[in-house]
Amino acid sequence: MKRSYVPYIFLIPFFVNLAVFSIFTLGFGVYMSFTNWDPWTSIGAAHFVGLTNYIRAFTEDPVFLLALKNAFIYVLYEPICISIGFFFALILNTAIKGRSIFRTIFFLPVITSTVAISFVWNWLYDYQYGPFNQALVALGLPPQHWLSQIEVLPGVPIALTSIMLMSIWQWIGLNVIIFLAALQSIPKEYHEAARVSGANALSRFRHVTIPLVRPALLFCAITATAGSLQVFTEVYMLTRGGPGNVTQVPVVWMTMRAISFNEFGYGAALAYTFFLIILAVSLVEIRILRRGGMFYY
Amino acid sequence: MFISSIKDQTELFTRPLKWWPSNPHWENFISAWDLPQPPLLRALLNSALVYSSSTLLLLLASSFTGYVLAKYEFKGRHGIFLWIVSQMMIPGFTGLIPTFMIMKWLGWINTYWALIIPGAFSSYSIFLMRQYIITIPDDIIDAARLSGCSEFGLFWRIVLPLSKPALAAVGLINFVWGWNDLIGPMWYIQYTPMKTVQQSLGSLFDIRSTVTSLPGVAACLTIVTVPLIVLTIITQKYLIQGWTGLTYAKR
Repeated sequence: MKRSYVPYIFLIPFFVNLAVFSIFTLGFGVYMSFTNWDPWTSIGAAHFVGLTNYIRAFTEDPVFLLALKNAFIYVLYEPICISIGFFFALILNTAIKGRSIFRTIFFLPVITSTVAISFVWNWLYDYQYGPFNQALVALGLPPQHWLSQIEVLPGVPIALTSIMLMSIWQWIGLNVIIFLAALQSIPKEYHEAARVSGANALSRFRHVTIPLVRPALLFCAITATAGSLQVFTEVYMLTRGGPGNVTQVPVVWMTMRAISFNEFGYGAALAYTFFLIILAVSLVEIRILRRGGMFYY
Repeated sequence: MFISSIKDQTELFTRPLKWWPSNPHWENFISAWDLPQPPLLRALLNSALVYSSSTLLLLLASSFTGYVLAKYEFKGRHGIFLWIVSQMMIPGFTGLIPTFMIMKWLGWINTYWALIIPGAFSSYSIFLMRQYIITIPDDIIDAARLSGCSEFGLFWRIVLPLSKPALAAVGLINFVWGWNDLIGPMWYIQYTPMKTVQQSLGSLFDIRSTVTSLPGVAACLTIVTVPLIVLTIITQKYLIQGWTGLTYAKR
């Protein structure tokens, strides 16, 4: 309100970060993506190559295209996860006892590191000794190579679906907690009023519950899409993009190109290409969700 | 995971599956410490140092920024807020390569700084702090200002204590995220003794098939996860409040 210099003093850390890690990184990264630079030569030695890196990504790099496809298949775990999460939240919302215990249980996979979870699932998926195969055998079914390239659907290797299954398990808890919070923030009077005006349970659900939890759904859907397109640790730990490159995803591939192949310029180009794709998806998603309500899945 | 950690090697590979081992091997927990590279204790100390300091810096920086965005009128406020919101849309991986180069020029590769400093800024945290601080009534701040409190004193004595729930939530979420992060350390830390817990666990992946001491691996996982579980149980209220805040901030 007064003493106009005060806010700027408080903003010093923000401005330092803005200058070094936001504007500079962005500008430098974009410039780098137009060069053939590798990190062990000086920047002066790099040649400006124009759009070559970007063109290469789409014409000479089949693995990148495959990785893009895989990322978009992988994201499909999310509607499943949100639906199951919402279902559990509805159940927990009616439960009177033990809600906080369930909440803790649901939250544990969320705070456990993906690296640790991957180890456990790696064992679960083990061909010879893994519990999944033992259960299949006990039911008289043939055991599966869970992390192999065998296709369950055309173009979808079983390893990818196994990774998705692990992610569903890991993130359900977070969805449950967010939805539970949303459900509990609905004032009881709304439901009472609807009941008094003669609405049955189903229409109360449709006309009171759904509209009021829609922001939470919107939030989950958007953050989860952007987040899961960037999947890294799950794939890196379970399959390293293999066997071959059938489960490769963009961020793992970018890391491999940059660190193992020393192609920083090309890696940066991959990063920005993928970023623009994610941005486009998020914008479309916000529009669809705004317009169509929640049942667009 | 826990049950596997107290089995012995052969028992883990029996069919049918056993839920509880016939005689628990607690000593797996002792041998586990030396199994990964770097040894687990060193990795735990690395991670604890890195992520607690980056979380403290983060809380300071984001409450500073959140405070002025919430409570001051000044030139550029709207622009800064828009910038922060748009930054939330930019995924972290786009900055990995240029940040790596900055770290290299600063000589920060293989130092703790490479993880602490980038970890100390997060648009989400600033956003959350702003959303929370905006709910603190102006009257309280004005009253303190009239009784002669300095501008920094206002922040330190009034705003900060009142935003404890938000600080706790933001701090916890960032600490847990950092602790569980693999991609950052993978890029910036290649010198083994400096590696973090997640890299240390990751190293087990490579020896898994050769040493075949899966119970030891499971023991390591348990050791790393238990602190987080305890933390969650103690601070559940704040963690969940934080996530709810995150949800409604978007409305």
